Amino acid sequence: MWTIKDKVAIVGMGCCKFGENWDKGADDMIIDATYEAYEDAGMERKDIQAAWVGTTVSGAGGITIAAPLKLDRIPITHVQNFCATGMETIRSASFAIACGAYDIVLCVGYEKLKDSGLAGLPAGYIHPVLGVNVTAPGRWAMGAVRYFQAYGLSPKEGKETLAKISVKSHYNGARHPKAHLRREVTLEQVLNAPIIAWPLGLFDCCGNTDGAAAAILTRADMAKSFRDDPVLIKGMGLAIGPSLGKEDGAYDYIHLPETEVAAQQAYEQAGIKNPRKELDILELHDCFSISELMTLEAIGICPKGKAKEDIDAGTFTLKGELPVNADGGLKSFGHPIGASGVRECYEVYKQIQGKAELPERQLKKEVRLGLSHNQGGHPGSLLPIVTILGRKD
Amino acid sequence: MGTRLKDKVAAITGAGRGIGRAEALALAAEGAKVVVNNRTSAKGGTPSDVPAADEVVEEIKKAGGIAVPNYDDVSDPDGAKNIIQTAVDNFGRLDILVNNAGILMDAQVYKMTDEQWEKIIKVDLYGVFYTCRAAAAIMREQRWGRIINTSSQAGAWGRFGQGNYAAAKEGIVGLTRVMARELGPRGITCNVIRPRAGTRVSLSPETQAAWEREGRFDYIAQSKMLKSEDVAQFIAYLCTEETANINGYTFVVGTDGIGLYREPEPPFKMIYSSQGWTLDLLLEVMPTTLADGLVNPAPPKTT
Repeated sequence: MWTIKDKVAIVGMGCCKFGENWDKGADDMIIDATYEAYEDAGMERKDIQAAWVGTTVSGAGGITIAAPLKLDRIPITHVQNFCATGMETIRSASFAIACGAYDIVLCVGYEKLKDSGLAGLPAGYIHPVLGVNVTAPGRWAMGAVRYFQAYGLSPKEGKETLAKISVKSHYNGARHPKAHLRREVTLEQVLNAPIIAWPLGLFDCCGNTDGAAAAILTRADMAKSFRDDPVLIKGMGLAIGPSLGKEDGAYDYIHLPETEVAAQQAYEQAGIKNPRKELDILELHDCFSISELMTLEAIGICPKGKAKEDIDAGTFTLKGELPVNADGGLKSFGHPIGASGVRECYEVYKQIQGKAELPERQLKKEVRLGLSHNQGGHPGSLLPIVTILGRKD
Repeated sequence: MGTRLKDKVAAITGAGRGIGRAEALALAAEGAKVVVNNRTSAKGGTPSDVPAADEVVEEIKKAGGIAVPNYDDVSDPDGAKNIIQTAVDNFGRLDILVNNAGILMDAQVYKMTDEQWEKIIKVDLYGVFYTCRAAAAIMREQRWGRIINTSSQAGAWGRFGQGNYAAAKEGIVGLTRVMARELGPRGITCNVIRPRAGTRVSLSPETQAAWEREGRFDYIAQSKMLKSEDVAQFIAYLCTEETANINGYTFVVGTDGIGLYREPEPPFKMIYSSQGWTLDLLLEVMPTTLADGLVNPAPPKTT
């Protein structure tokens, strides 16, 4: 089996301050993120041979980054894969390097949601029959209700389980200087918050955020010439289904079959047999608290229906056995759609290098192998990308 | 102390706790002389040594206001009459009547007892009629008055298990709408509020436990955020001279918002026939006309 393992290295990354950046346009954030990545990699603009840019609603075409970054006559590709757009830039660029087309490429994901006339997820094309009255929180809420029922969680237990996820995310995000929503919340606050789509309340839903993040990728065999601690791509999986969940009577809305396959692809490439034991850190796409819970089961960290036990035990907290969303995740760090997938790699990349933003945020344990998960869609119609990042062996 | 209701005389039923108490305090704070009616003790349930009305009267007096207690039962015609008479005896007139007294005895209709039905209709609907009848007689002579009756969202929403309560509370809306037309020419306004506040009635321990079981912590939090004091301010407003054009209307009143209900209108859709109706005809035309797009709010459960 062909694998991308150890063929591509990340040698520089950057991430701007996420938030409601009223004082910044997309260009400013793209520059902030990219110049941090240049500095991190010890490179400059002229070293970049090709670039990928990801944004869903804040622009179209390669010029969106060529103009602010003054990239001069190089190939630039704009990719869009729903909320998985950010990681799609890294995925596409990785294959371009792996096949030998380029040695050094730049990936930029960004989104400017404030001051752009949007109040929530952009609708895009909505099917006139199948898509009526559908919202992202509504679809995930359906999954949550079904999950509670299928695994015997009372509404109270289910709500409390989800609330613990959000409390953990805010705790982590409050400690990251670049996060959007930097305030801790209590279990009570999360439970009492206004409902968006029951059981998902305000604090079960991610932030609506401006941000940009960037990565510089090289051939693995030349990575050492840029830095001593490059991070290698160990595996990548993307599995898009036919979006038949709502028509398929057999689909149960409590499992994420696409994510299961995407994770399996990534594990096989990386040679991971026991993800729970081998992985040291997870960045999961927690657009809603229930998404984090269901993903934990889909990627084989918890047996199906058992995530509650680990959540209750604190397995996924900063000091727990397997920290999840150490930077606060979408919930607290924020969700600038096109940037999120790159940001999900940013935290794992930094933790593997032992260079977490602020030394006190560095996990106490050794971080060798991490998983970043980025996804678009909802149960029944999902678009998940799973990337395994690791040290050079 | 405000003076916007100076020299006005008000009677408030069920003013021992919750919204009624807040209303009594608010009207007194604007200078009204208040009859604080409450049947029971401060602890609720049966009368005991310290009637709730006395406590509220004490509170009003401490703040520099004027008030007298009354312990009559609104569901007794003579009792209701006596509440109004207390105002006249002590203060010589009656300008404002706020009907707030009400109780709950929840049961689904199919297993509701005669007692559960009669008791609620008697207190919540008859009680309002009795006090309104007595008050209207006096206000007509004075050619000025403000009557505010307390309905509920229970009927408007069709709240499960509250058939008796909803019937009484919607009855109040109809009664008040008629009174507004009857009494308007004499300078009296009659309006309805559907209050939203976390009180002993709306946020009972049973309700709170049920909401917790259902994971509706947001309902509890919202209910606690809704303050009786805010409802009372709106009542004080309706009692001012400035509200002469507000007569026969229904408002929903809560801390976070106040809304005006739409009055019943002619049907918004009609079908016509020149030769009456047959079952066959209705089966043919209804699905594409009046029944088109209607959604059953409580569809049959399959499990």
